[in-house]
Amino acid sequence: MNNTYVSNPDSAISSVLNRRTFLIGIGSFATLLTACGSKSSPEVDRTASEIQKIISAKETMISDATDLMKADATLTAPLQVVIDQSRLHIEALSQYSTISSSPSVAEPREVNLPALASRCAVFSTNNVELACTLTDYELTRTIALIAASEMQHHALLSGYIT
Amino acid sequence: MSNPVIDERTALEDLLQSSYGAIYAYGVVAAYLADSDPALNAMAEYRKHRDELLSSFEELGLTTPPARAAYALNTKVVDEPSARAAASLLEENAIAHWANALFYLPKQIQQREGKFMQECAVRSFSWSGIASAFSSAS
Repeated sequence: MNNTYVSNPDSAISSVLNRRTFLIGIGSFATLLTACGSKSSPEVDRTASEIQKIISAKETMISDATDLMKADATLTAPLQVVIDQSRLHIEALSQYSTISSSPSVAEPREVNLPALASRCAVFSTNNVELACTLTDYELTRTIALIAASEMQHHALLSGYIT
Repeated sequence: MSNPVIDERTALEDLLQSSYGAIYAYGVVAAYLADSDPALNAMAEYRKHRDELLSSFEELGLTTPPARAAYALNTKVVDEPSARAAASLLEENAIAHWANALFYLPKQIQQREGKFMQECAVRSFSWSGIASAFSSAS
């Protein structure tokens, strides 16, 4: 064998083995660190998942409200309020969601003013129910305030239904 | 100024004091409105809710704090517009108090209090026509 890079085959084997051992060691340590880093209680996972559902529903709501605004300019004022405040809600909730946003499967839904107004009321009631199950004070308070805001959105949009 | 909410008892006390304050404030608001019915209806809702809270105190074996002789309004009421503003403000304050207390309340009344907070939100909007992203106590 003509390997000019290796002067002593025994020491080379030893070096490769040491390197392998080292890499395996590093790999195991990294795996352990990753496992520790991602370990969270089922409660935390459940909450993060619930928050992500709220965020996704609000993103869909914003998209539908934007479409409705384009179709009927007279609804711009109330819908813009709902859109802006829903974005603030998402911003506040994002810190509690560890799951990255992914495109949700589009479910058939009505996109008209009564349907959007009704959706706001449903969001509000669902969020009150969720707030009553949480184990974190600040998140409970945030979700409760969002539920109150959603009820006001329901009242706001209902006022424009002819 | 209300005491900090740190447990079940202080949460209930805070909501009871908020209800007492709202009942008093709606009496002032109603006096300045051409049509006092909405204010009197809101006052009736707070009275009913105060009684529910008093029952909760009793059920939990807690001592009920008494109502004060008078409560300071968050804004000066001199005419109809300022009366409406005061009413909206008191409801926004109520939302903030209920949202703050919800976590500490006994499980069996959390849903009821959450529903009441939703009603406060609708009343606040009906007085001012303004929706808030996050209500805060003033």
